[in-house]
Amino acid sequence: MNKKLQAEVDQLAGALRENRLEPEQAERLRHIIRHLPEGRRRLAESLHLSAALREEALLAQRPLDFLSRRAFWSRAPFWAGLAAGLALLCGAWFALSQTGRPQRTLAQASPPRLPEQPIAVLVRSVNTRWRSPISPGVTLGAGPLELLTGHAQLDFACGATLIVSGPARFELLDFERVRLNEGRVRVRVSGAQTGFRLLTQSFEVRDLGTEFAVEAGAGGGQMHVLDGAVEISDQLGLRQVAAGAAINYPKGGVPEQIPARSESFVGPVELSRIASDHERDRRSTWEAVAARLQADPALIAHYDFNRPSGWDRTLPNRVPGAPDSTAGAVVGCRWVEGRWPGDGALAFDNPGHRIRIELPGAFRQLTLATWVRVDESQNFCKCLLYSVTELTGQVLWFLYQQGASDSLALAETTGASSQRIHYMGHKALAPHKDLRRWTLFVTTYNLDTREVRHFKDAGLLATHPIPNDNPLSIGRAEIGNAPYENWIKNTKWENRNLTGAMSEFFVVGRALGEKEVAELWEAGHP
Amino acid sequence: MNSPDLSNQHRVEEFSALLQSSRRRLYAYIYSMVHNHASADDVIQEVSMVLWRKFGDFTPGTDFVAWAASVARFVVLGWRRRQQKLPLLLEESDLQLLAGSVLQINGEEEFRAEALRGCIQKLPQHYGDLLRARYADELAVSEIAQRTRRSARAIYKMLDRVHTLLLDCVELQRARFHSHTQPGTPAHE
Repeated sequence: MNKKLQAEVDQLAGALRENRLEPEQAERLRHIIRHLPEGRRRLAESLHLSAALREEALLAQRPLDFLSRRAFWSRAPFWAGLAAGLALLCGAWFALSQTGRPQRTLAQASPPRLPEQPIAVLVRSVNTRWRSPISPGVTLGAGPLELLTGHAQLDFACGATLIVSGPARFELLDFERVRLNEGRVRVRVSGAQTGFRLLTQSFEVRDLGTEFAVEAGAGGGQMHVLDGAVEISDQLGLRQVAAGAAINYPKGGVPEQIPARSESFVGPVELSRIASDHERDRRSTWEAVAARLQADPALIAHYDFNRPSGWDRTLPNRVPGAPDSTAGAVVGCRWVEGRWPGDGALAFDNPGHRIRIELPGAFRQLTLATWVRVDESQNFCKCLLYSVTELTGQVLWFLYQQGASDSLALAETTGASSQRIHYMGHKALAPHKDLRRWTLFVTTYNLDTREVRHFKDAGLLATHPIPNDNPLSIGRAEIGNAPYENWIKNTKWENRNLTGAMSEFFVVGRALGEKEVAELWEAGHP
Repeated sequence: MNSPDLSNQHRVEEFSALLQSSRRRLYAYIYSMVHNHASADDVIQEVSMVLWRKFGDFTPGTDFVAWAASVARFVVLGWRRRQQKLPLLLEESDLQLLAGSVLQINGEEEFRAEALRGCIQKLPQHYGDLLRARYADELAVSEIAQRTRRSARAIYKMLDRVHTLLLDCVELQRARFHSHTQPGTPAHE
């Protein structure tokens, strides 16, 4: 093949690989594929190389000690013959940084990022649905937001508090300016005048130490001064409006003064009442679902993580009639607030924290389900359940970093030489997006259909065939951590605790279906 | 469709062994049609499940990769139809031609994998670092550019360069191998 064509094909392959192919390049590529067999062959070799590099990379980054007693089911066909190649790869692939320190992944290197210019914090969400989901606690930078339903409270860096009611479309412009395109908001500014401004298509409001409310939409808008005074700028010019007054802006018409109506806009007190009602409703819905699951004869364990009284460090198994021996022993973890106010959860924020349990039995079908909030991503492996008993069918259930995100993994020992099979659910925990939010993780193991399924929230993450016929056993196990072993010292496996909190843990002796998982998420998410 | 006999442990083990030994070839075949590793990961998961469900249709002793590729082809077609947001610049017939060429390369899989490892070892360190960042750590080009204080354009160029280096190196190994194993065939130096 001539060098010119080869160079052209290599360049086109690069554009294809990096998703940068322009339409005219695609046209040329089509021609090469159809009419120039040598060029097509080179292109195929280039794509084949990229696939091979990807496989080599995944093999090179596999956890060599903790996970690799046997190949990942989904990853590693050439396991046995690769030791030499891996050594070469690992030798060649040093850290990207010039310091010579081991390369850290993006998730390890960066704590959850603040936006470049933090403008406001989402403090409270009540029954909200956002176009792009965000959770309370998140710091927001400039940009548009769309609240489909519910009510949300945003605290601004300048001291203003904004309560927005959906449906609403608005944009954070900077730390003292918000544009409201559609919806209703109520603004309270603490203390002295801050200069906070709210812009709509028809008018602009500037606070003068006040509380005001605005409604905007395609049909016009309204501005109500509820306390203090504001400065308003509209087609009639710039003027001050005092408490008790409101201005109606009919579409295409002249602004007219009307009496202010506070009750049309949700304020902090009303929001608290709505939040309280909502939380009560959500809690009772969840308790109904949990109660139904508790009546399931297949339920083996349910730890609800509610705080016991006094110094008790026991986590009772809530399954009716469950023997005391199946209760969990809390080691080190501290109690924190769970998914709702008043709901309990345990934080595993120290490498020593763990819950010890013992659940006898071997199961042809098994479901593990838990609500987890991962606060930090720095631990390479975050154990959810680690069976200590060395048996065939021993269970390991954990999150671990693969590339930029964390995968959800179930591992089972297969008996001979404690080999393990790993079933992976990729992209279970996205960096930044999934940190500090309550997530439901569910894994089902079903020897009758020979399928392992991983779920994140209500969605199916992965399905894998089961090659063996080994029932699973839990036996003595740890929740939220793994036992210390000598070999992990100074390795990336040294800390294997959850680095977050857990608010519910179910072990069911049958494989829950997709609908049941969706119901768990629907009823249980905060 | 014949469903697999679940009680037949031997059959299960056979499927497991065939899939494991074919996964790399199957992945390359799928990747050549979707051109994105994350998508290829998703598709191969789906393909594995379909293969398992259809394993009763597979005749032992025949070419598993060819059978798996025929199944994968339809799964990829379904995947493409669901990608309404992606610009699909190549037509299905082009992809089939391309994927067919990848399958032919797959016949040299073991040799190529070995050659590739040798070629990676010979790379200058900064190219090895780049490959690791892109393939192992899955960093975006913009992220690599930021960390190395280079422009994204420069990183794209480096990526093109290292791929070409590896392709040429593997091809050279292949030519040498053939010149040794087939007397009379000149090596491409």
